[in-house]
Amino acid sequence: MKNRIILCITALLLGSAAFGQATLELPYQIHTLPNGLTVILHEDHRVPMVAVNVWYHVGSGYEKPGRTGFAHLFEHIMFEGSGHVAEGDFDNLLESVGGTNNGSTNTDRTNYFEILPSSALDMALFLESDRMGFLLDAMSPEKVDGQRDVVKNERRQSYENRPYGMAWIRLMETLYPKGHPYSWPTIGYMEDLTAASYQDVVEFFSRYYRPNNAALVIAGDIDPGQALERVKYWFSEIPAGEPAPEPASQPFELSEPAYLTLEDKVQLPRLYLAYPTPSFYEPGDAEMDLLAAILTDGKNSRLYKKLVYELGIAQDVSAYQASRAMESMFILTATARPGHSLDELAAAIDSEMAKIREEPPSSRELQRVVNQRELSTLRSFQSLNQKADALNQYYYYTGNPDYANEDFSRYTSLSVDDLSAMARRYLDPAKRVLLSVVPEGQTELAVSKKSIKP
Amino acid sequence: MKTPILTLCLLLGAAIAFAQTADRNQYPSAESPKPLQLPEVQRFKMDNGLPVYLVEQHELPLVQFSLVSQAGSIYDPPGQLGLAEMVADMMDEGAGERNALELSEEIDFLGISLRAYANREQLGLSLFTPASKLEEALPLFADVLLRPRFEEEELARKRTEALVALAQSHDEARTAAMEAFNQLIYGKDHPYGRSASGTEASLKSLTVQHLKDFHREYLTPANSFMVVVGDIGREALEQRLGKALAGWSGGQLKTQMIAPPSEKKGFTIYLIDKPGAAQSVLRFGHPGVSRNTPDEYPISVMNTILGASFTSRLNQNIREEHGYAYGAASFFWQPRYQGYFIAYADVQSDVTGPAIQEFLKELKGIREVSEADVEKARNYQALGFPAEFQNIESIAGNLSDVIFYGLPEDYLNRHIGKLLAVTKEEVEAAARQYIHPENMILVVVGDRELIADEVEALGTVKYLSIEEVLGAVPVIEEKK
Repeated sequence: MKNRIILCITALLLGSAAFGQATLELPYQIHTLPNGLTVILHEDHRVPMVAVNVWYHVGSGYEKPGRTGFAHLFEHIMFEGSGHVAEGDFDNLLESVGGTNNGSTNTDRTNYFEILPSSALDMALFLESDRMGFLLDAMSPEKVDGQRDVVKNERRQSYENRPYGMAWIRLMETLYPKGHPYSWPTIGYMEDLTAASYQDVVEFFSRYYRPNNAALVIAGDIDPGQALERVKYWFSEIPAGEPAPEPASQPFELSEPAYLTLEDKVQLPRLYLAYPTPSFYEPGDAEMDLLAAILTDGKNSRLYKKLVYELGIAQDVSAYQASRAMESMFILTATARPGHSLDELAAAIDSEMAKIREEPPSSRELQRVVNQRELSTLRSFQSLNQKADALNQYYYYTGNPDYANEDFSRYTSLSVDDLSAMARRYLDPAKRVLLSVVPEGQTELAVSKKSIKP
Repeated sequence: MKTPILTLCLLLGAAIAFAQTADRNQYPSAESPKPLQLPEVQRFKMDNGLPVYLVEQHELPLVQFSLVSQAGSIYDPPGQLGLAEMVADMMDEGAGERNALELSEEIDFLGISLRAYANREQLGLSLFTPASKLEEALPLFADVLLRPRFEEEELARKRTEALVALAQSHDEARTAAMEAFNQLIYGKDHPYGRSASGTEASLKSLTVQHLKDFHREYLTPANSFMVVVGDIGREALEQRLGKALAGWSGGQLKTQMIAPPSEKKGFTIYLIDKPGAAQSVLRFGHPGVSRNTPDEYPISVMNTILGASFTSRLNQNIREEHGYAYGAASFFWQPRYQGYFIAYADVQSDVTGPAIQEFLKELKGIREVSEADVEKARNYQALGFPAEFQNIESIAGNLSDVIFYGLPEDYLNRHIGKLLAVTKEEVEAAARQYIHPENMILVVVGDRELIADEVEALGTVKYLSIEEVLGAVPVIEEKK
């Protein structure tokens, strides 16, 4: 049997009940080419397909002032052809062999992937290597202009023309101090998108899109030895660059709650709370994930049960830990039902948050959210590209591509006291942003300062 | 002796150069793809007549159960719109020995996923579980399927939730556009045209008796089938299902003829005002085909060229050439009876007129395609198909469609071959037969003041308000 993903289900005794606890593994080989490119290979022969997944270690947090949105605009430009690939042929060639592809940008990294028949692996490697090595040979100001318009429409579609769409942008601006790498939106400001130039593309490519600043994962129906040979063939000639500069982390602390109100074309007011929290994989990060689930996942979660199920003052409530390299944030959102103000919501939320700070959750609550987390991991590891992305993510943030089991152990090793301790430390009502989005002309529905008692 | 040595040096040089420098002067040619080995489908009937379809997949210790009933919103009686969706929504709000909170606690704590859903044609119950948890999971599945409580208090809660969601839909230009599109294609009272999630009046009139009646009539073995995919063998499955579903019996197969929509005459634009909108939501379309159309494959390849891939003509034109939108696409909605064709994008407000003209150009132009267009599109659809078999939910979904729509038993096995056999002539014939830009509607939701002049220059314009489409914003009674 070849090296497939192995999911060993081992029954362990946890407290009084027995649960299947997964040992999650993503077996891999890792190699570094002389030019610094990291290559990670994972075999899975369930379907005759392969996922090719490249992470460049640059995101919107690396952008310079006046050029917000550039990392994402650059991502778009990467699909517009390179030295040996005519404009449009990146997609033409992949579709011709049955492949799909995409990319995404966040604050920390930019990823690109292709999912295609294993017999066509060479096509993906050719295309990825050509844009890594020869993008600028085919670059022109017109291509920058074309994608500038597309990205502006992406911003209109995903933010400006969407109910509550501008909340996220205002929330980041308020939570982070001016100049902090996470204080501006990944999609960018319109005027900065307008200002982005051909020269910016040249600089950004030379600085960040070097093999030594990237990692390539191939997951699927491969022979690792042969796949590595093909990677060497296509990527070896690309020269290494200088080590890429990293944005300086700017530790900060909120000294008091920050209030902000935004009017929008919406029927119902919505409250956003944002708390600064520990960065990805640091102590406290896993606790925030589980606290978010205990608070808002499922009918028995604390806030859903109280605000939606029992009181009926909210239409929805959700929370999550947005984990990132420099700082994370814990985001909580709730939408008021007609006839209810955000003050009412905030009071009910704060009362539940106080409880979880003062008294640990039950061990059953903890086990419930860990079990749900296990299920979602098992589900996602069916997909070749989700495994490839996980290998890249673990490699980038922890240095170990197969961190899956350690990652899951972060959750199983926590005690209920750990959760309360971290809730006390980070979910502090005196150190957060409160953003009210209200229907136009109804600012009286916003959360008021006096109603919140830190 | 110079020559042989020189030759040897040249050969060596070539070999070294080959090892070090990739040949980028021509595009790599892909080897022919490996055949997709489709897993065998085992078919059997339970004693109560429920057909069961099993695909064993033992690589991962996971199992998907999909129960599908012919019980979607098309079966909502007049005046009870939203019933099927409400039944699905209420099935896990208390079942068997457990109330809503207790049931949810069992499911979440066990670490499984169990969900009911309804769409136009189906009501389904879906269980995704680690194989190690089957013993506890199946009785919960059976409770939700067979013994939902449908309690008064929970219905009151769910009703308010649905009414508030209906109020919120007034915020969403895309929702208003699609509701209007459905109403205009089929008519406001047609089973495919009316609201699937209900109106203010219908939601307020739903009672627990309506829910119970619907459940008793439609959620029966005679009106359902089960697909199971994953790490379980037939013997174990039969034994477990027999035990879990004991006592479930009876019912009738529910079929309902759905009248075809009237053909559209001419090009009519319906403009819905959304003051201050940053984009205009465009939805072009006309009646289309059913899932069982004999022209499935030519239509699929034709639509891939038109609007169902990144390199499709609509996306290339609207997004890549003009930068009018983040993306543009088209698809055929193919239910059991006659569906529709739709082409769509959300375009920057100030280019609404030019964007509409570009759409019209592409919808007319699709009647001519090249051999290269056809080859790329059929390869894209056919050779990427094995990706559907990565996860058990998707295998179950593909198999469910084959069963629900009565497609041939070997449908999935023949899918790739059928796609690869489509010719240029068939694609052009499909375009002529199934794309009619001259007899079509266009719904626009956007800033009337800004776009009305441009739009009126392009055809007959009728004005609608969001309230005419979605009804007035519902009045939500305060919970005391």
